Amino acid sequence: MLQIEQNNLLIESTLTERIFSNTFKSLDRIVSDFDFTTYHLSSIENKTKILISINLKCWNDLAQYGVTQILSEKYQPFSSVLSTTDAEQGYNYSFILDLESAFDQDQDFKLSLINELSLLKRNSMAAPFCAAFSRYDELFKKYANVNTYSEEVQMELQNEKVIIIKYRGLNESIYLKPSFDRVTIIFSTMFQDETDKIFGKVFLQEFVDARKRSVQTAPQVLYNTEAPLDIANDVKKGEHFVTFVLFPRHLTIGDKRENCISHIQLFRSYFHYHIKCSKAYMHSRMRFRVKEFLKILNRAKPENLDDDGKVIETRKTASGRTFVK
Amino acid sequence: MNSDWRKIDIDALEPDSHLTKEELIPTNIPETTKQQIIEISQQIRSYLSSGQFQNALILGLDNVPYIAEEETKEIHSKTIFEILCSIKNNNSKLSDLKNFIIDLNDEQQDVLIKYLYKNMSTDYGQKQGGLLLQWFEKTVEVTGLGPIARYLTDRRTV
Amino acid sequence: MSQSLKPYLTAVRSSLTAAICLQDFSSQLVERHNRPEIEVSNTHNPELILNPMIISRNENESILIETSINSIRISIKIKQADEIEQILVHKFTRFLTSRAENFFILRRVPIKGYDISFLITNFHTEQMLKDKLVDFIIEFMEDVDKEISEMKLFLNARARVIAESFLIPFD
Repeated sequence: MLQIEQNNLLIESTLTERIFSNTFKSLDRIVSDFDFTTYHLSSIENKTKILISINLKCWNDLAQYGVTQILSEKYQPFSSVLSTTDAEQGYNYSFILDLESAFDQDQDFKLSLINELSLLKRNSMAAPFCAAFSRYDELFKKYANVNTYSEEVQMELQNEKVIIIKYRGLNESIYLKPSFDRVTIIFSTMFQDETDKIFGKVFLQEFVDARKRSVQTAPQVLYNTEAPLDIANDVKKGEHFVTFVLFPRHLTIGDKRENCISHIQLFRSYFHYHIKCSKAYMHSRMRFRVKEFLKILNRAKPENLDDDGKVIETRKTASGRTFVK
Repeated sequence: MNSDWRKIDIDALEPDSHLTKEELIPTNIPETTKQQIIEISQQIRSYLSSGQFQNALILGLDNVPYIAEEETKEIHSKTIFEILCSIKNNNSKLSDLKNFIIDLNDEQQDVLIKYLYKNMSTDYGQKQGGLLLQWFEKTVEVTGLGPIARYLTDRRTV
Repeated sequence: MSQSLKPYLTAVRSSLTAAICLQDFSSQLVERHNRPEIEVSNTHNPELILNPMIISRNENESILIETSINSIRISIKIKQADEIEQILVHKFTRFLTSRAENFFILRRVPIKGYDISFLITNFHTEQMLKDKLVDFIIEFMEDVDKEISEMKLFLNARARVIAESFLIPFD
């Protein structure tokens, strides 16, 4: 599994089971996702309805960039079965899914409903990205016929507001800065230990080089241990910075832009996931090698031991008889 | 008999009979001075520059400062290192090294091994690890393991 | 095999073969004790300790063999060309030392300045064949280098695949 799935598998399977079963059963399930996200699925009103709630660390940041509006637009097509409600205690946003009316819908409707609900985190996180990208659209129009190299324009662009998403609490954040010809996305990240750090460096070096080498159309990637200027006054010690520069070709309105949002969100998870995978692989490899070394060492023991160092109890003579003890 | 015998300090009655490090150093060898070693090294250099490699090697291995200041030992060890380097540089074939070793007597071969180990533990020797290892390989091919065992046990250190 | 590896291993092999020559020896200091003399701080019995041997291939790879009457300590410095190799060697040796009890001759803590140490006592040589023990050390040295460089190659290759498969979907 190279890519991390955008949607939440557990939500998908839970809802699939409920919506296609045509019966009412009680349900109370807490589901977790990356970046400390939690969902709560519970049945209410005689099990005829399901309350779906989500909790995100960075909800306050998202709220600034119109997350509720984006979500209500996104789930508009399903309004016949899905209604928003006041957020459940301890969560940021809740839906009520009416199972009775959901049962009557056709197959395609059900499937796309389930799919969109399992993408709840992605859709919520999309809000600041959408905001940054539409700001890019504005700037693009504004400066279409202006000399962008002039100092005033440069100054204005310099002072463009940086969107900050503290999606993992205090330490690691995403910074978005739109401009007229690009959107810069900076991930700040920390490494758990020295090994992660070094593996991480190797990985990031490849991210940086990939564009030069093989994927010319990819966003530009930069890697620093010091904060890039745009965000210098808002960082903590020990953080590393990965900068993605998205160019207009990645921001084409439509599927491409949506895909870009889905994909870039998961960078941190993807990156750390693969560091852990490599560590696990190294571990299993070392385990194997150690076993081989043991075999070699055990060869030093005289005959009556087998390869694993266990004593062979019954020694046989050439003719196959065993010794009598 | 004294009833308080448990309190007798038996260590006082029998003094320690341990050997000390100094006592292990052989006493029947005259001390070598720094001056002597410097003279030898000069002579070796003149042998080397006139191409008399075998003579240089033998001279170096025959005059070993077993009992001397650490600094003096150091100088001689560097001199031997120079001999080994310049023989290697002037004889491209590995088999040539072997001929040099065959022409040494047993004592000289033992000393050669001592200096190979010694040089491998120094900074300058480690930079030329490959060269010393080739010498080592060829020496052991000629002599077998004897000199190594003698290196381990010989208190006449270089 | 690189050019200087063979003479290096040959030198280690002949040195070890000569050095592993151990006998049972009771402590001269403590009654009814029998301990590896090389591990005891030996100001009292310097005669039990033999001259140490250092064999080096270069500045980064060397082996220290310390011999005594009933025990021998072998410490290996493994090649570490960069940060990645350092971390791999560190992980690997830690992995080994945490399994020291299976490895009979492995010392839990390496000697300062080296990456991994072995301690062979007369009890080991009584139970195991000396030549095979030497074989083990040699094979160990060979395989560790190989393993480390393979792991490093793997890491780089993997990083490349991962970077590309993340960046391609953008377009």
